[in-house]
Amino acid sequence: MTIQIVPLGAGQDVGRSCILITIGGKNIMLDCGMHMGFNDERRFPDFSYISKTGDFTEMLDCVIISHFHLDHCGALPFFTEMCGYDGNIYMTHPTKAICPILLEDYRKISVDRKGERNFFTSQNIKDCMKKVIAVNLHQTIMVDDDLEICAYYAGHVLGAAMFYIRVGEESLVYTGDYNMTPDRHLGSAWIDKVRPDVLITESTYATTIRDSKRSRERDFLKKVHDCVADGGNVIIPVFALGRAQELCILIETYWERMDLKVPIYFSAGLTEKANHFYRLFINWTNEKIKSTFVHRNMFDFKHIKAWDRSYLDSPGPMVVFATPGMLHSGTSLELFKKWAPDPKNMVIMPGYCVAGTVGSKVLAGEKRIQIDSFTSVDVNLQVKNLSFSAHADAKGIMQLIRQCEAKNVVLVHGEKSSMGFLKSRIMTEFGIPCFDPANGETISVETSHVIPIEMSASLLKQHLIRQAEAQQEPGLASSSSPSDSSDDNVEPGSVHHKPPKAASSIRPKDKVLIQGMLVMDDGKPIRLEDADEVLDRVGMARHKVRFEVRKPYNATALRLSVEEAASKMKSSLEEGPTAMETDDNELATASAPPTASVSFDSFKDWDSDSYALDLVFVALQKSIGSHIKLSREGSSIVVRSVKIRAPTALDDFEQGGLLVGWDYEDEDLATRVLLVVTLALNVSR
Amino acid sequence: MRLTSLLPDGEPNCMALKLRQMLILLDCGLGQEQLYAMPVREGGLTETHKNVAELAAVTATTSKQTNATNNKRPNSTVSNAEQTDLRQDWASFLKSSTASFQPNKKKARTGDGAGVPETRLEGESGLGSGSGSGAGSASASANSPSAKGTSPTASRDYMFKLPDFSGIDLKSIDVVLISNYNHILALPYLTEFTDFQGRIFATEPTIEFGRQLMTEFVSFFGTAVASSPHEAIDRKKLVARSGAGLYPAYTLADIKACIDKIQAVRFREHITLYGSLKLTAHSAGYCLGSSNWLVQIGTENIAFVSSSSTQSNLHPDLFDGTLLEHASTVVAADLCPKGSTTYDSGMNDICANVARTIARKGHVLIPCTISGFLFDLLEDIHLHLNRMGLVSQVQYSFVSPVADTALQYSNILAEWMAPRKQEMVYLPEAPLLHGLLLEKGAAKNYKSVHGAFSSDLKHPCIVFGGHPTLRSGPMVNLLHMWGRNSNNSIIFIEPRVDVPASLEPYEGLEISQSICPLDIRLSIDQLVEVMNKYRHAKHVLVPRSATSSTLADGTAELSDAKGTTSTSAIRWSSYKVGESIQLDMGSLYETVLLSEELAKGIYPQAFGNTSYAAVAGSLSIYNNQMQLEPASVTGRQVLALYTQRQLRGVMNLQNLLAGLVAIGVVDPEVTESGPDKDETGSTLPEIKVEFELAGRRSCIIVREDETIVKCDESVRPLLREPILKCFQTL
Repeated sequence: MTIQIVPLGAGQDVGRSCILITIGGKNIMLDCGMHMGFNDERRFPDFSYISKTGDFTEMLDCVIISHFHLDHCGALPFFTEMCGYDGNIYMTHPTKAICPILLEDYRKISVDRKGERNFFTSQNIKDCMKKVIAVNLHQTIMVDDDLEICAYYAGHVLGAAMFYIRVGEESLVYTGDYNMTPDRHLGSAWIDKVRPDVLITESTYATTIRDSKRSRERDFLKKVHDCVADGGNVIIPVFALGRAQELCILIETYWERMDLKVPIYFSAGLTEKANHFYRLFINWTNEKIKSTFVHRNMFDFKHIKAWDRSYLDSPGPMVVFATPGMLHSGTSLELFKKWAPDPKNMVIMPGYCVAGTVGSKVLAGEKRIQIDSFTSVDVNLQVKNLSFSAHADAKGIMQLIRQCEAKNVVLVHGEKSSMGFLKSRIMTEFGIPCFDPANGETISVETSHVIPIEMSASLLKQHLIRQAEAQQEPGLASSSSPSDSSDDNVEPGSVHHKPPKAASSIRPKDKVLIQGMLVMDDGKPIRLEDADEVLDRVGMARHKVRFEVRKPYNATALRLSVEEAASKMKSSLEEGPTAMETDDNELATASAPPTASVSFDSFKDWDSDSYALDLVFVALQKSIGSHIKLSREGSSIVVRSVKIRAPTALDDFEQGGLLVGWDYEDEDLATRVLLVVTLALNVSR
Repeated sequence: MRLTSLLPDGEPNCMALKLRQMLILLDCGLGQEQLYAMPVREGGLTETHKNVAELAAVTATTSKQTNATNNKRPNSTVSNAEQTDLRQDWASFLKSSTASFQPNKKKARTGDGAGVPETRLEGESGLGSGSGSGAGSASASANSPSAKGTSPTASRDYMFKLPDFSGIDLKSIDVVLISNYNHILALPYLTEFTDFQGRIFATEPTIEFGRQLMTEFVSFFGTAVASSPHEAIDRKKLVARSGAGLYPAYTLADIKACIDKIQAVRFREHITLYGSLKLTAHSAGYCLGSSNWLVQIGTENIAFVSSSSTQSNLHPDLFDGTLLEHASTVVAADLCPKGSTTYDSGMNDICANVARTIARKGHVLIPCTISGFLFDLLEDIHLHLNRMGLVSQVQYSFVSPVADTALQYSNILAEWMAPRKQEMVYLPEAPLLHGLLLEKGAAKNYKSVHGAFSSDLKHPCIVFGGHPTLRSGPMVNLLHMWGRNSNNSIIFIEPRVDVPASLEPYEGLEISQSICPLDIRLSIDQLVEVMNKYRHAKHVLVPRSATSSTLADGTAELSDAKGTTSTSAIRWSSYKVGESIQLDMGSLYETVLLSEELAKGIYPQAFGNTSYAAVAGSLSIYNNQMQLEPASVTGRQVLALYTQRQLRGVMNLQNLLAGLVAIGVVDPEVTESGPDKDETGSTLPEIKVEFELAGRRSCIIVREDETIVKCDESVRPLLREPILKCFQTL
């Protein structure tokens, strides 16, 4: 099975996030964003990649939007209303609430301001939002019978979420934008140990570390403070939602801490409404804000007051948050025109500006800006561009990979150069494959295909007991050595190493050998059960077949070899114990017990059968004794149904040799036993 | 599985479910019944409380003096001062209760250990009525530390009866699942006073509202002194020792510690514990965050359907029946009793009642907790008053120690509301009407009837809050204040409340009383309907009260309109407090993943509609997930030792002989022997086939279910095939 990933946008780039994935036969679009840097068709992802004929609803199983920033949701109305996608769209509640407002803002700039045609309308946005299904965090949504999705907190902006997607046993996590450290109003991203086959993560700050962001904030606040301390005015052009609230909280807390009296204003009729969104979605902010909201709502700002045009002529200093964010019209432009010539003043551009707007010219450092055909303005004020959007840094990205235990990582939403750095770091640190596909490049990740079955608990128990018993056999457990147990901790005995017994007995049993019968019934889950029980249920009579075979051996050769060994032993005893070590190790160990039990002078009443049985018993114990119980009963050896004995007068067999009998059900065991017997008795060397 | 109910029918839920090796506690409610046997305690006194002031003149003076002396003491701590205040209230209360309300009327209630507080009450009252100043001095003397333990004040603590934990080893409880905040009040006893160490799950709103209800409970019924008197006792032993005793309320510290132990979940969030236990909360539609739990262990699914509602015009998220699609056993609890008023019909009565009272400039008292369908009712009342043109005159007051939190918190829970309400936040508007009313000042909330409440008071006023049993809280004061005016009304809206018992301590009430308990819980008829809708062969357990009789086979006949009995699809039985129900769950299966590699080597054999395949491999347990993979080389050798081959069928002699001939046997000698012919005494009929092969004499003995082959080792490989061919092998 494979998971395929194609970025249509955000591949080695920031902007117009749009990633197509194919998992377990399902096609899913992750985010549907626009690129702020383009004004032509490149601003939207190339949807023709999905389908040339435009039957997107057929092709896609669902669209998932991670958060309300336009580079993640900006192309959605275009895709649904103008391209005709009519399937399911999932996003969180706050995203669903705030997304249409930002889309409307964006539409106004593009259409009303720049006169673009063939753009989506307000009605399009409304219709598009009607198709959206809002999801709650951690809630498992079944898109269809096989595809399930689940949102996790991402902490980037209000309502930002990471999505876990699962089809059968294959899974994927898409992070959207996220932040691993709690900030002023949001908590940190968190995900269960879901062990996805693929983790698609943003990498905006792949080479940044968090401290630098903190110091940038400090730097920003200091600049604002210095500016107002000098009697200058600060203008911060913002959109009504999102970063505006982040900056408001930042400045508000600073003002509170420093006990500053300089007035802060927020222009735009939307403010109250915007802050109201934040108040209603207080559950999506961090614990601190949540726990204190009853007494004091963080979004009821104390220092920030509503802007009134009459303040325009008041002497200052002051700080004004003004809409819109690209200085192309409204209050922000009006203020800018008034304050731009004075070098004491300052403008802070906290976001991105569409090319051609006043904002973009300011950012480009133009000293004289043509505002319209009649007016131009000298730009002498200080210009700062600061982005405070909360993204995970390299450390945070590594932390998330560790937290969810991803098996493959795909980097998107970042600069190519910094991605390369992070990619090599991930590969060396975690030893997992990491990809950074460009737009339109397909990544295929192989996943193992496993089949879920149901195993009878009694079958498992039975095997666990068997394994435990085999390893508890005194004196036998010691013959299993840990060095051989790399893949299974049960292995045939070897006498070469004798590990301390304690170590092997306390080692957890992470593997159990299982045998059973798979039962496949139409419409029911596949079950693994005890073979006997299943066959009894099938209802066919059981038939026992017992084999009794004569195992001939060369009694004379055996006797000779023993006598030879005995005399050697005798001489070696006389020569000293060191001679023993030069002897062939295996032979010595094999014949040691019989020589001990058979006295050197007792060859006269030599019973070759009983001697052969001794030999066989020792050999069996060495080879299979650690797994199965052997017993010696008089003149026979019994291993389950396998019985090795000396023939008696009652048996109508030809004389000579041992008799080996077994039931057919133990055929495999018997084969092994026969092999051991053959080897043990073959002493003609 | 075994199910034991620990609280009687009609009380909040508390059930122990033993499922395989897991012990799960379903809900942890506190019985309310014993409250009626308790004395009335003032939620606090107001300046306007003339009755008391007049009648308790003497006491008041005494107390004031005590108070004054206390205040003069420079080193008196704040808590000390608070204690004194409380005692002052107590003193006045003692006076007022004995003189004006005489709560020492004998109650007919029996059992439940109610005798203890009653005797105490009697003693107290005797003391109080004997001499007013006596009570005052008693409370004054309580200020001295030496008298603390034995003071009458301390002994008047409210005592509560816990669920019957006596039969349960609390330490072995693995999981506690809370369905909604009405069934959580006994939880601090379990977590803080016993050696319980399991995990607790509830939805976020359940935790928050549960915390609020506990806080309210403590402020109404907690011990009068700030430091809890049971602090000194070994707290662990207190509850663990017995299930039947009575215990004082816990403290605010206990609540915090208890709430911190609960893990928040959301609807349809999958929780996996100990590898095999899966838990999922599904919306129950009863109140914000109310949930029904699906408990899955191995392949066994059990649904716990607690307080649920299929009413679709209320604010909570709608009832989610999908958990019933998977469940093989359903435990239904907290059903609405027969003959209850539905929300829609009862709501009209209430609105009309409120409007009538407002029209005659009377106050309306609605004793209830600030939660649940109250939020809907408020909307309906407001709309109704608006239609009647009365809305401008009215002020809504919410009086509760947690009113502020409850009102604010409920409005940020849009995700937990019905789709209709969810839409509101996109506008953005507060989803529940009280958000708007609070903003406009038409509704106000107060911690108690002290202070701002009386100064803000407008006529007429609709007051929500207090405890429905009228044993404590602001309603007690308000009833004293307004209870004698027939223009005012008191409306009981909460189900589960015994109104006559609530009003029993109060005498001479003129206030117009109306009883409209709204019950939105599932009735037994609705339950049957729901079960039939989500069809799946299942066993449903209902409370005994929902059944009319038990049939001979142990199943139940329900008390619904049709008298439903068990069918082949649904088997109904009933449970009752103190009885355990044992259900056989069939054999247990664990989910295992079969690796692709192993699966490739499996060749199933079909017998009828079912296919079989012998499989052997190595099962690894990793990350709580079991996977069956091909065994290693050594593993396979070991497996071979254990392999048990199977032969099925009956030996056919003709086939055997044919097979033997095919491998070159000439003239096998067949001898039949049996009980009839045998001279040797053998009782089994057998056929002996003797022949010579490869120069060796061999023999095969065939019996009915057994075949014995005797031969030389060199010959066996030749004989094996023709013999096995006669059978089916797997």
